[in-house]
Amino acid sequence: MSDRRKMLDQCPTSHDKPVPAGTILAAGQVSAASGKIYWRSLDQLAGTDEFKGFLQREFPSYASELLDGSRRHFLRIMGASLALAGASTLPGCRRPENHIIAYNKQPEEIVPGMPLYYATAMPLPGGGCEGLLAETFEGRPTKLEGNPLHPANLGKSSLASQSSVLDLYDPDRDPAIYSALAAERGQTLTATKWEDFVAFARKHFGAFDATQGEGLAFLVEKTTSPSRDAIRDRMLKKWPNAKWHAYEAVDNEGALDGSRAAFGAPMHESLDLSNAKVIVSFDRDFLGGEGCTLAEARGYAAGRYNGGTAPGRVAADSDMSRLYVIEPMMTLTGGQADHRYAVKPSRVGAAAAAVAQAVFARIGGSAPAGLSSAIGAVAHATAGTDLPSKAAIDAIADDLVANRGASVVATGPTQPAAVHALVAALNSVLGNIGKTVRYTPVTGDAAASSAASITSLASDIDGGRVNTLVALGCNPVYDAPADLNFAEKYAKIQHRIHLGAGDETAMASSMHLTRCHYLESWSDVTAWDGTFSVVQPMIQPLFASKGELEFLATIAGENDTDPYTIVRDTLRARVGLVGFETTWRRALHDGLMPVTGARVAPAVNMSAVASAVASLGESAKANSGVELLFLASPHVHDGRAANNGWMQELPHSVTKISWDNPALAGPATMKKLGFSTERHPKTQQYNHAAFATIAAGGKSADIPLWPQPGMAEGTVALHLGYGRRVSGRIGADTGFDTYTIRSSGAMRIAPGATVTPTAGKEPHLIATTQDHWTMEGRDILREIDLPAWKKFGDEDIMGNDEVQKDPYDRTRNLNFAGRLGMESHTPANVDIYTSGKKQEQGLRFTEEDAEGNPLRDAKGNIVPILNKYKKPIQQWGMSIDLTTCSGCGACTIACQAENNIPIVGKMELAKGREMHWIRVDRYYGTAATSEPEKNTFGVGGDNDITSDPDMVVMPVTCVHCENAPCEVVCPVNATVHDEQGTNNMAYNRCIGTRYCSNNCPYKVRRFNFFDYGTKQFRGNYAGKETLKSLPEIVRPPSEYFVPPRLRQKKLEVATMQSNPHVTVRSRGVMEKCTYCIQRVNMARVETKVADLSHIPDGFMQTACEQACPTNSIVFGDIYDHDANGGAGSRVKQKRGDGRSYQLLSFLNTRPRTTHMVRMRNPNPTLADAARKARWEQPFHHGAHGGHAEPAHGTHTEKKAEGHVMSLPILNAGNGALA
Amino acid sequence: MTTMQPDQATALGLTRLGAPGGGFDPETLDGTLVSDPALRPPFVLGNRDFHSVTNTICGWIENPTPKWWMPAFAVASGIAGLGTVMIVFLIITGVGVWGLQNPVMWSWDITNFVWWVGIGHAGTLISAILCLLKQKWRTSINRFAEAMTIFAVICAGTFPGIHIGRVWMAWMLFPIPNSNWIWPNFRSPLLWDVFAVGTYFTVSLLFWYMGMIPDLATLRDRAVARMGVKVRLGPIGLPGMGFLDNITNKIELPLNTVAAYAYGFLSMGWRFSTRHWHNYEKAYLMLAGISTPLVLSVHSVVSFDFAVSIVPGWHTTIFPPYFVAGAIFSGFAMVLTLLIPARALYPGMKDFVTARTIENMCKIITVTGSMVGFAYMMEFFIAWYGGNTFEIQAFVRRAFGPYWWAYWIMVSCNVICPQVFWFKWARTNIPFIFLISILVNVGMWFERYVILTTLSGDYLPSSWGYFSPTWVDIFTFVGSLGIFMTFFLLFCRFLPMLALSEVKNVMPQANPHWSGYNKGHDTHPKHAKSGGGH
Repeated sequence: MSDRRKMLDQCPTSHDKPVPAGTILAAGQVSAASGKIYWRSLDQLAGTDEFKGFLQREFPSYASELLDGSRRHFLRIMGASLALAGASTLPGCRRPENHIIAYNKQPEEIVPGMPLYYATAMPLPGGGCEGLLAETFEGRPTKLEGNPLHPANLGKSSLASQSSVLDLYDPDRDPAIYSALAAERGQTLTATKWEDFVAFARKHFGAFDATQGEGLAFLVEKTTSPSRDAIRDRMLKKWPNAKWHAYEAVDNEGALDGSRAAFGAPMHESLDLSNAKVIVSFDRDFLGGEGCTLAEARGYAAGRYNGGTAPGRVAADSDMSRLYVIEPMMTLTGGQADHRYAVKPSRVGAAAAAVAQAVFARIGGSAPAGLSSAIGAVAHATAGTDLPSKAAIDAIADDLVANRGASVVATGPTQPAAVHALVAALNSVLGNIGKTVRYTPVTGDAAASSAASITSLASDIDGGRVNTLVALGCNPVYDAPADLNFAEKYAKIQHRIHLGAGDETAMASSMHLTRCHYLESWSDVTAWDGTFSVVQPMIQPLFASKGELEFLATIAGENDTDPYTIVRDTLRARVGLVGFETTWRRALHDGLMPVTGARVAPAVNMSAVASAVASLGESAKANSGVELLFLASPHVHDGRAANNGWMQELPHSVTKISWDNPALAGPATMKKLGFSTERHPKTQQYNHAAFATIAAGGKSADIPLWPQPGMAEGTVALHLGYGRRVSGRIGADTGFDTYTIRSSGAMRIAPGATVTPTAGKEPHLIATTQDHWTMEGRDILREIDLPAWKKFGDEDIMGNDEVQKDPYDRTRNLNFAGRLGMESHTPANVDIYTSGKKQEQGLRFTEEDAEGNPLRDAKGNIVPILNKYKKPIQQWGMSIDLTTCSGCGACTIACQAENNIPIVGKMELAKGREMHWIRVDRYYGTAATSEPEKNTFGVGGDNDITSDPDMVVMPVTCVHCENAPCEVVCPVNATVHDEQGTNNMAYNRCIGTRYCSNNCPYKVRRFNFFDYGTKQFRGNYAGKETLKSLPEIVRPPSEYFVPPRLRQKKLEVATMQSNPHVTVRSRGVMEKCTYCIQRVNMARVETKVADLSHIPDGFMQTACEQACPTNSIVFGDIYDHDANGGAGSRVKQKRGDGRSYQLLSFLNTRPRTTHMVRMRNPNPTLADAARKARWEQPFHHGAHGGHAEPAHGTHTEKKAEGHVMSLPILNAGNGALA
Repeated sequence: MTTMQPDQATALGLTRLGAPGGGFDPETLDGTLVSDPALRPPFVLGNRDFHSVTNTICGWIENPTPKWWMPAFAVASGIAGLGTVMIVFLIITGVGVWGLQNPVMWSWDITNFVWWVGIGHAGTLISAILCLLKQKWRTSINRFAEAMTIFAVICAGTFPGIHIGRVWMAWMLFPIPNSNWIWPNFRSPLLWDVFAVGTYFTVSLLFWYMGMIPDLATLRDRAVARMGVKVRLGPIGLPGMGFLDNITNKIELPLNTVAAYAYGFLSMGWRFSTRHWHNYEKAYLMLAGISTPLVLSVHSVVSFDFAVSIVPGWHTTIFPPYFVAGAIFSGFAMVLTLLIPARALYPGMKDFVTARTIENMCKIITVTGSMVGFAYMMEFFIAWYGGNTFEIQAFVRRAFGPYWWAYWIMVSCNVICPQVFWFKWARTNIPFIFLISILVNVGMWFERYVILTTLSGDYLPSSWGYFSPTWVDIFTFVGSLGIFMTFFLLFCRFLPMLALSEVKNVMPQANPHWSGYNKGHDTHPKHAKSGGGH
């Protein structure tokens, strides 16, 4: 990397790999350093390693000069440096002020309109964190991005962190507003003033000193904050009789208990999927939010297509992990699976036992005997149930045994401890522990059992042993198990003190304080691999709110309640005083402090596992009725993000439902239960769901039931976190409360439930963004099995002429993907404007020098457009790899945060007016292996979809066609191409004829039917019937009657999230993906300042690319041949890959965004003959009559007969869609 | 013995057929449905001379307001007001008040636009093409049809104007020089629309107005003769408003003076001089020549809105001819829809708008309806023959998808209904024709709706949707009907519905060799007698 290039990097640490000594901690190491350190001279200080490191980091280019210069010169620089460091204005350093106050003199670094990035971390529910970089404009955080240094993120980010910035500006967090909202609903919800609380706390909690905390209880969210742990420890030391309960409504108890059984201590499991050749998931949706999603998704993507992005790779070299998924509900992981088996939740363990039995049988002597017999008993007990076939189990076992040490067996949080223990034993036996599966000991709050915590608290309350309950962040009145009747019990406590959101518990509390957003208050957090991060605030609290550290310290009666000091003290206690400031500053700057040795490879206690496994058979056998499966919502989690409009509006990754959480059941199960799965008779859509009365554990609720392909028979899945009774304008009354039927004995799986149609209730309107299940047999999403790719992927892209002639005898240069798709049936696209011989050759579909490309001259030579300085103008493009895209939706939310995309609310969304610029399409197909002639992603439409479909996902955004259909038809030139090849929208010019959207074959354009972006009404905060607040006499019959001028503007605080570099669109204007043109422009300014000729590859990322956890989205200059050591930019490499194709390319729109063929890696022993035949002849088109016909290219003569013109109707049975 | 001129034969036939009411056709009591090819049916019945023609046509304006007019006008303008309220509401609130959504970004707005433009085709076709083809039967309906064209194009022009997201920026559609040097996109069919419809409206208006100048002058002269005579406002005729009649009956106004000045202003100094007539005839012919290609071009251009796109089901080369045929089809149906009640309501109109005229129009409806039906079939055939899945699916989805009902309404109204006009009884049964004309209008509306709903499912099934209209959609459309009818009733009340000079031109008396009125050798009609008409 050149020095100039380095100047571009905002984070000097990222290219200075050597980490200074003294900043890496061994896990659990706490230094007891005390006293002060004095330097005798500056030279002595300058000689320390840490100073050298500091120098190296801060002045990478000049470090040597600094140290080698003359003494006088050195002192001059040194003095200035120290002075600057003291003034904390060094680039990239954080100011040590703990309050961010308005400045009356312009600070040096802050340039209005230019973002500054600060590192921080977001604590995750249940523990762990994400390391983030916050983009701030004049002290206002607008967007969160993954910290490239943080091991959990490596620059990527999840849905939760992307959307959390919206929570910061949620006006409903304002105590004044939520009190008013509650009053409108006839509720009383008043926040206590902090001063009043401090006075109360001093008196009230001081009194506990006498009784050592008798009658005092805490109910806290699980986190891994060292500072909170420290305060807790100090408090419990002072008040040993006080009770401390850690509770998460959606917990990972099975894993904790399972690891307790297997290893003797609770462990957090993390999977290194990049090295795994075989992955078997027993209901672990590691791509959809269960487990360390970011790291595991990244690892999965890397292992999924080993070498897929490496330069010089050839298809034959490609290696791919194989994923088996056994799960009750279709998940993102299940959609990615090579082999997926839908199994009832309670029988997943039995399936795991069956696999274990087969594995043990194969590895013979080394299998633990006790466990083998226990598993044998389970297998015996569950024989005859609908588990995966013996062939499947054997194939999985064969694969696992063959890849010992490079395989992963995993299970998810819905599964009980026995399954987790069994899986740990399997990993141990297979030698995976320490290689692909690693464990981190879980201590403190995170190790607590939530169900036990809340149950014991409830019994304490019943026993009158709780006089004061401090509820920290959690919302037990809403989400405690229904059988505890927690709301009643809670009311019995005399002092109910709550720090959190204005929620159900807040309303039931005697004292309620609003909690800060994590970007508003200092805190700290530890990631699952031990990495320590400081949660650095970006802004003063916007509302009257306090952080939990300050709150707890106040309760504990500590002298210093300032969270900044608390966090520093915690770290100082840990690392010692020596070089603490440097360590601290570095932790702030980098956003983390690496910790080594946190991960362990413990041994499994097989006999303990055997006794745990014994219970599996009984539970699997007994459950023949309907089982309920309680899942955390991938968006609102346990309900804490219910008031986040982005999360509510983002369609569920699998169901594509937004603003709701209907119960999900397979169509067959629904029919059996007496529900209709018919489409709406008139619209032929699914847009209403009939109510079902769902009863379990003596409680029942009316929840609409929605048909979901891929569900295990007899399983009903319920997402938690909706139906909030007290929340902001968005969360309240959105969806249905499923906690009401969840009891403490069945927190995840509730067998023996009854589901009956509810009489006399009108069906519930469901807003979905995708009604259609299938691709109708089209080659929209192309798919191929790995063997075919290995065989044909490397075929010369030019093909031999005989193969690649179109009916007019013109050469058509199709790559592998092109030969799979519709292009192979269409005549070559010939540009009528190019002359001469080149015209004969037609279009190359994926090469960047496509024939007739606007960037070629009449002779076909590449002629990049030059700017006025005779430099080539960069040509942007994007590649989306469908093999690794899991469909999580992080891109959608990142785009929403970056580009000021409004939410529209449920009613507008139900009309199909969603505004997301990048969407993830989801299609189902019939089982790939059984009936090849049906294997076409639904030639027969949705009726083809059986209970056991494949699922595929495909992000679609504006593909920036070079021949953009939208541009031709716009009468006012509002959408035009620029010289960089992007298709731009001039919002000022747009008059809203909407013709562009009609003419867009990808349907990626979004229209502002109303003032979604600027008005509160039916805009950002109008998911609900906000009209309710008006007196009846003046209430219009419909919100439509309220003219926009009278509607409330978005509250100012809500507008603060807006990216100042992106226009907020008015109504009547079309909008769409811009390739984040504001980022391109910003990068261009920076590169110009650095005197670079162009923006280097990867220097700027679009928001979607930046967030994508699996690196499936790649953006860059498609003409950058020199990047990456001559291999070309990443996007150029991807476009040159045989898997690259252009969506609907036969339309000759020439998208700049290309997709890459989805690859599956099925087990050959599980593939039937038809599937295997397609590996040999992937381009064979089955509908030519089914008889063996030569592979595509060889029947040139036949094409003259005319059938070549018929398009993918001929693709029925095409391997392309397998 | 000189050869008998055709008109003389007609005159003879007329004489032979006798007085009005004493006809030979027992069914229609009309004298024009002669099937004898040798005998040219008369264009004007009732044994009229020029004077009576003038008196009758001008009388519709000069006589007191007919009793039915006021209630009809009240209803029509009420509906027009409703439509205006809808438009105002739309503009202040946003396009979202319509049911439009992501895949279906156009629906009733453009449906109504194309429907109205199509209706607007009949007038110019009748006045221009039929004029050039010397179809004399057109003279009795051309003014009427042209007026209908003007009003239909006004309604049509409203919809693209209001359907855009930012109405206040609609001026960007016009090539107005500006300092940014940003011009409209001349590649866009929507811009062609602006020019095509604008040109069509301008030429139609000119044609209509120019053709009316001699008649306005006649009205002026007749009003001048009555200048100074005050007119009593008649009963206002609204139900339940009878108590006002006592008042209105007593109000006297110098309306004749106002009319004299108004018509005088509008007739632009027409003096019936030979030079005027000479220029007039030339201008008329030229405008007919200019209008003729416009008839074909306007709807072709409108069809480009669809055909130029790449939407499956839209991107078809058959659209221009098929749209033009459909436009003529719907235009004639609308002329009939308006003409049949007017013919019944205005005394003496049946003498000019004869059963023969109506029968001719029915024949044109059958021809154009069959062309449209053929186009429907060809769309399917080409989709199948082309082998493009997306095309096939688009058409299958039209016929059997969620909008199947709209498709089959369209087919039954547009293809099946007009076929009844193969039978003479159908072509001559006025109430039945009226019914069919309404059905054709309905069918043609649905044709456009079906085309627009094709948007609901195109390339990527993930984006498929279903459009449902809102009440604003519905009332905006109904309101446009009100606007149209309001204009039309005003036209009936204040402007000559029939072209005086042209009607007289096709009367036997206009033949220089006519020897009628039993006036011996005086073969020339007396100008003075006809009140300044011919």
